[in-house]
Amino acid sequence: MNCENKSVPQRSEPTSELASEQTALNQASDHNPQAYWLQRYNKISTTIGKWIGGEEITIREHKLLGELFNNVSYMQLHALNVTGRMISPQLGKWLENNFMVMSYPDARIWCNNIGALTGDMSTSPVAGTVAGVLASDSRVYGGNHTAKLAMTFLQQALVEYKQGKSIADIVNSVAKKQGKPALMGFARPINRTDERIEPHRKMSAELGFEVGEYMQLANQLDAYVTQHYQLGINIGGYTSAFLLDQGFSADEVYALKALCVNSGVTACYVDYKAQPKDSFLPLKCADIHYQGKAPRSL
Amino acid sequence: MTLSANKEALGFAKTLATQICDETPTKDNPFLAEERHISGYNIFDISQKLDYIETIFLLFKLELPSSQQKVLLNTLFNFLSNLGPRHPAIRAAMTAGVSKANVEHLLPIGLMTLGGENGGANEVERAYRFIEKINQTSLSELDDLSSRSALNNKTPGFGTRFAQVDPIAQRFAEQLLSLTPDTECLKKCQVWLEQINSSNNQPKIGWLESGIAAAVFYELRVGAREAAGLFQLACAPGILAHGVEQTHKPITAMPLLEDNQYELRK
Repeated sequence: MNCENKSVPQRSEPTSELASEQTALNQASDHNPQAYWLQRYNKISTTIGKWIGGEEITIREHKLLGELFNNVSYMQLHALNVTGRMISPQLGKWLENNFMVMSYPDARIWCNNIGALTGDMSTSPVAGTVAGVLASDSRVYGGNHTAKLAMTFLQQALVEYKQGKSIADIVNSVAKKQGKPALMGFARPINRTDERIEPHRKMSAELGFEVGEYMQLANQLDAYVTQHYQLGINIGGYTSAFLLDQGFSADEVYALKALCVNSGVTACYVDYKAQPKDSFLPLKCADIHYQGKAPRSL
Repeated sequence: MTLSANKEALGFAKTLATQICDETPTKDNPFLAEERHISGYNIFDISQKLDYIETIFLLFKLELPSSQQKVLLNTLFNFLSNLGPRHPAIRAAMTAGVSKANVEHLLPIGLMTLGGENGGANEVERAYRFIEKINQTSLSELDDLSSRSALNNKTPGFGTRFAQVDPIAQRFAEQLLSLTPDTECLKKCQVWLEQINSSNNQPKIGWLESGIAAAVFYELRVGAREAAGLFQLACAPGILAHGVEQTHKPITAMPLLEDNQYELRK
């Protein structure tokens, strides 16, 4: 299945804004070092959108009220805002379901732990949610930053695979941690089931998505690390392969999934907001293992 | 498998550990502390006898600074205390302030903005590692490093603002060098900078605020990650002051561009 939506008029792919702006900067600077900034002085120049008060809002050349409102899903609109592409309703549904499983309301999970702590301090709900979301911008969990890392790895791995490198060589060229390859998206111990993988495979099939070349590679990597290292693919690896097959870039998914943990964070926030202060995992002094200098005088 | 079994398999610790702070509980309430020591020093002694900048140093190095280290850190923190109202991080806090965001959000908003790769905390971290490389290179090999850096255009901490060298940053680097002439790191970076500017035909580059901060933090050997956060801490006062100032003004006190100043390109 192609990710583009057939029911909404299609627009051209956005060019690389940064690259075109860099070219403009270089061209302007050839004549006058400050020309680029003088051109942008006291005005906003954008391709993203514009609000005309009392009339309409343009988003990536689409009319929000006249065209999108009550016609596309919020996830389709979100993808349009972030990537400039109008994705299909099916892909919008896939992403929405994916967001559902990236945001468990369990306060042991690090970002939710922060949500609970902000609730405990009766921080504002916006600050509590944002603080937890910010914590999910992590190299090891969260689904946004990790997706970028996993997608970058898979992109390079596919290039190497097409050049003739074996799956074993791809896996074994990655740095090892505790004797096992640190493949982003494929480091789940096989005795720990990622309960999200099979429902995602089922959903993808039901929505009509075919297994693309990145997913085929991911499946091969999964089989290899399972056999040789007792590791397996996790939801991050699966999602990254799927979204690469749908034509997203790593940077697009990093931005698209920036908020993917927010619901669980807010849930843990409201849980402890409603409880007496200092009720979230109260610590005794002795619970902290001090490893520093002995008492001394100034 | 249960979650607890999983946790054991992954080697999660049973307790939190730290080298920074020790708290002694009261006799009748284990949740309350009656004493707090920072790297061995009683918090009441610290609050009475140390300058704030000494305490900052202690928190990150677990020892008190020498007189030169104190001068370096104090001078840097004073310099970074206000990056000016045109700086994106301060503008973010000012925009939040004038638009009546909760006042307690102003500083976090500015600090998040200051986290960026372009002149922010992220660049300080990369500049720290780059400066480490400069300092681990002998003077005779610096020329080669200069050429390679210029070719790759990868010089975090050094560059231009609005196509030219930032005069305030250069003056501050010179001030630091004159105040603390024994700082090997700053001197070597200055040598490298002069070499790179004489070794290619590209526009001159100079110190950036992120580079000066990284050089000082490297001189103090605080660590690259610590440098990123300390940069944010040092810049915090100006962010907060400018942000809060705007809260006392009406939302109309900040310009809002007219439609004819807003170009929507295809």
